[in-house]
Amino acid sequence: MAEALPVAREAVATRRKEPVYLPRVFRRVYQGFFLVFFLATLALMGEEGIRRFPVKLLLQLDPLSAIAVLASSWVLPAGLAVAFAVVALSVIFGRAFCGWICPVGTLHHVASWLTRRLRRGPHQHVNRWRPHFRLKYLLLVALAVAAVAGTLSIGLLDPLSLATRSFASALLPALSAVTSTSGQRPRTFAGAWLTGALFLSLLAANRWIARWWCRALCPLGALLGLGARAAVFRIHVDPDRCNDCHRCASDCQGADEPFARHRVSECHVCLNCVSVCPEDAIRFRPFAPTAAPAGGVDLPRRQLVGAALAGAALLPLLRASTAEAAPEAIRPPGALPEDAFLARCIRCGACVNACPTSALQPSLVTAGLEGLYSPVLVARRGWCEPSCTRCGQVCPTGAITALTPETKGWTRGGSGGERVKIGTAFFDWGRCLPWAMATPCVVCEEVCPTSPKAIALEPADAVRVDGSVVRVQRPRLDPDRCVGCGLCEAKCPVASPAAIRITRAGESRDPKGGFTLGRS
Amino acid sequence: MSDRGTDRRTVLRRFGQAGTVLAATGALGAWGLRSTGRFHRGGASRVLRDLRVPSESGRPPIVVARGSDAASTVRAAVAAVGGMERFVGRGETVLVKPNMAWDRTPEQGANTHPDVVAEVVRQCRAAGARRVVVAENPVHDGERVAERSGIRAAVVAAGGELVLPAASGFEWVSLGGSILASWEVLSVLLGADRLVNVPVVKHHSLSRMTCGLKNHMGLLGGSRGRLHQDVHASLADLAAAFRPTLTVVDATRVMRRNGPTGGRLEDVEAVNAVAAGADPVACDAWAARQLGLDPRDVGHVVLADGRGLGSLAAGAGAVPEVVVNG
Amino acid sequence: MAAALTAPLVAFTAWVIHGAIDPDALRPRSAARAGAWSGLPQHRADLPADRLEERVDGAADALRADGCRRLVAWRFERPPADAEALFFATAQGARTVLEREAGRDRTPGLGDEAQVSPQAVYFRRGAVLVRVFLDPGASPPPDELLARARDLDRALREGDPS
Repeated sequence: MAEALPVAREAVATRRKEPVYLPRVFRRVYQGFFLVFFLATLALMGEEGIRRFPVKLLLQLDPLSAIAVLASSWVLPAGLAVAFAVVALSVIFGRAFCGWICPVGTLHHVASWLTRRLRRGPHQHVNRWRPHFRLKYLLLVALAVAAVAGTLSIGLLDPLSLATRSFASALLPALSAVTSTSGQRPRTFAGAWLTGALFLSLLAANRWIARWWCRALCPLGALLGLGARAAVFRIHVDPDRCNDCHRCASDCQGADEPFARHRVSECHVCLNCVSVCPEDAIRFRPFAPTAAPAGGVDLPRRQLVGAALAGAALLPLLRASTAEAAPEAIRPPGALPEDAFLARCIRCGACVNACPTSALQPSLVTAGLEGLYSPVLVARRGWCEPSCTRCGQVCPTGAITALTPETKGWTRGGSGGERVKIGTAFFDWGRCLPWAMATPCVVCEEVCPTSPKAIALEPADAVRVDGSVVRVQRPRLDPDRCVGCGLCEAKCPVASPAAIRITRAGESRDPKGGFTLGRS
Repeated sequence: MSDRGTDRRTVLRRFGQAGTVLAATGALGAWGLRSTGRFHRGGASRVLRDLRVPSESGRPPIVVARGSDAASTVRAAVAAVGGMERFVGRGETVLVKPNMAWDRTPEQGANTHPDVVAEVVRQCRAAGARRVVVAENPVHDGERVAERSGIRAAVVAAGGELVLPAASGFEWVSLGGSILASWEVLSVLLGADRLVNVPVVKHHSLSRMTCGLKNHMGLLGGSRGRLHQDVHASLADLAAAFRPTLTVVDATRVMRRNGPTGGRLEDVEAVNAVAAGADPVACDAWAARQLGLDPRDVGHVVLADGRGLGSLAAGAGAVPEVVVNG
Repeated sequence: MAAALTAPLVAFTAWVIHGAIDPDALRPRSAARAGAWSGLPQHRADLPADRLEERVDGAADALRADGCRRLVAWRFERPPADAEALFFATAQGARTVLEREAGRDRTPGLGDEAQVSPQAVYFRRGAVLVRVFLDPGASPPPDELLARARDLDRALREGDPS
């Protein structure tokens, strides 16, 4: 074989005009299609959209979510069964999901293409495999062990969950804040700056290493990589035609080194190498013989064991700091009891995206470290619309069960029938205008949506500071009628904090959560 | 890379691997689709068995014994209702339920006197019980209560076991009451063949008095303070759910004021009496009289009587008495 | 090969569009279809007498006083309308409520007696009173509301599926 660089120059000079490699063209079409589909699902999480479009499909196709939920709660929600198709896909075609479907992959692919000139270097160095790319397997092992223990922190690093969360609560609101006309209040979310910055930082890493997230961190990529080791279709380099020019590495997305020992578990099936090879030596074909022992990445046992131990330690450490979920951690209506909820919530933020009043916010500290990015209702930012059941309808794992307006029970009158209760409102009479400041106000009673209302008014005479007497109506709460919707807190004219506030005391999803006797 | 073309063994191995992955994933998924999950609090609540013995004609519903020595007074009272053998069979497991809720010394009268508890344990063992378990879900810290009330030492010396909730745990039990549908109950109760209720007589700031019916709250877990929101109806529900085999009322000293917690020795008066009987309503009615109350003024006793759980009149009127000398 | 690669995308898009046009078709078949009244969409509620409040709130007591034993509610899309069938113990009970709500004017040709207006259709068939209310602001083709009322009449005559 001739020297690498001189042959490269020659190869360029003598390269025959290549016909367009169709599968690569299709790969780009698929990438664009699914990126648009992903963004469309985020935009379509309204009432009609949920009815007509498969808005949670991408999240349901995610085998990492499926396996994690299965490990932590021992249930596979029916919707997640479609993830099997992706497993089958990777066992037949390798990590085609990464290269053709995953919207995060597409975004990183675009980012790496935009920054390609900043990563100059000889072909064989630019996209070489680096040892730290093993990290994604270790993360997968650690978080999978944590999932078995019962905590779904893996959802924080799952790419579809990460993308949904980042776009829904940070990037798209930022965009609409910039482009919206005056008077239209943009949606704001807790921690948006942090969420957005994290996502953009990962994209920025492409400046140094192309698709660094996909190569080094993505646990879904690691999972599919494990399945890809058995792939039927894989990259095959014909040794008789190859002249070692290493041009195949120049646009390699996965850093799987087609010119050397091809690591099929890293290959994103981008097919750039097939298209660019001047000797037409590379094919993507079934039944290609293995180039060398294994087709994957060697994972030292020591590192695997270390990762497993770290994962096993995660749950006890997370749970040691909080004996009980914080009182402000009000969960969406239909949420499972807290232990089961945390074992099923993949922190994707679809519910946060779907909530029409932005009442649901990603939790940063409210629900503790274990509940990071899980949804909590912040009554000051929004309230739970009585007839709305969107959060449960978009939740891909059933951490929030899908209610109907009838089972939620907030739109029917009378006292008959069960109703979901997410918390109870408590008055702060030292701040309430009619109670403390001799000022008439009936806002909370007006907006209370239950029928009969949970807030009743009792007339009283209040004495002002100047001695004059004012007739006021003082609100009182009936905790058995209150459902915790948060309308009162959201509309209370007193701010920071409001004179009536919701906590999760009395929530119906916890059989021991009630504090009134009622019918236990 | 010497092989060109397809190596059949490689192909088969590749198919085998692929097939194994698909089969394993599919099987896992199929199991997950049918599983009920690890956090599923499945199954209906447990139902309590009836732990009473058949009533005998001629046996008085309640008998009082008076004497200055607690152990002999208890012996006399139990003997007067037929002896413990009438209530406890050979080889049975007995749950003895004293009032051991408060971090107080025996003189302060907030808990059942340890001598009374010990004698009841001895009687059960003498009647042939295989296991005598003394249990309570205290209000104050369990370990401190067990020590300072003197009950742990007394029970162990008498040959019984003291079980605190940390060791017992709770199970959801269907109570079927008008207010209480189901509640968490000490698991030891579900494993017991007999229940001997051993309350102490005290004034109670909310329910006016606390004796046998109120003592059942010690079997409950969870946020049982809620029962105070409708205390008389809740206690009647508990009385209907928990039907003790025998009630032994500790009236050796009675807390007249500032119950149920108490604390001042001036509030405690020595009465030196012990009542026993299979009728819990009669026992509570008698206890009310020791506090100077008309049993008809105590809501939960009236409700329990109204539901046929016992006879208020039997305890309100003349009650057979035995005097113990020495 | 181009066909093989295009086919999944085309199929996927077709499936999404099909679901967008006719969302009810994609609803899981399970228990939803069981018990649907003949020719009508799946009913939204089927309430016994003691739960009428869940649908009619304050009017529940008055209806029960007239002998109402059951309420079944539907939601139509064409035209957008709510429909309720109130089952009474006697035909007289149904008649009383009909008069109270719809007055004395009658339109022939539907049920045992009926009153048809552009916004609402009332009719009685035996001891069952049916009322269909068009959504405020909707302006459907003429007779579309009446057509739904006739569907209800036919379903009632065919009998209770439960």
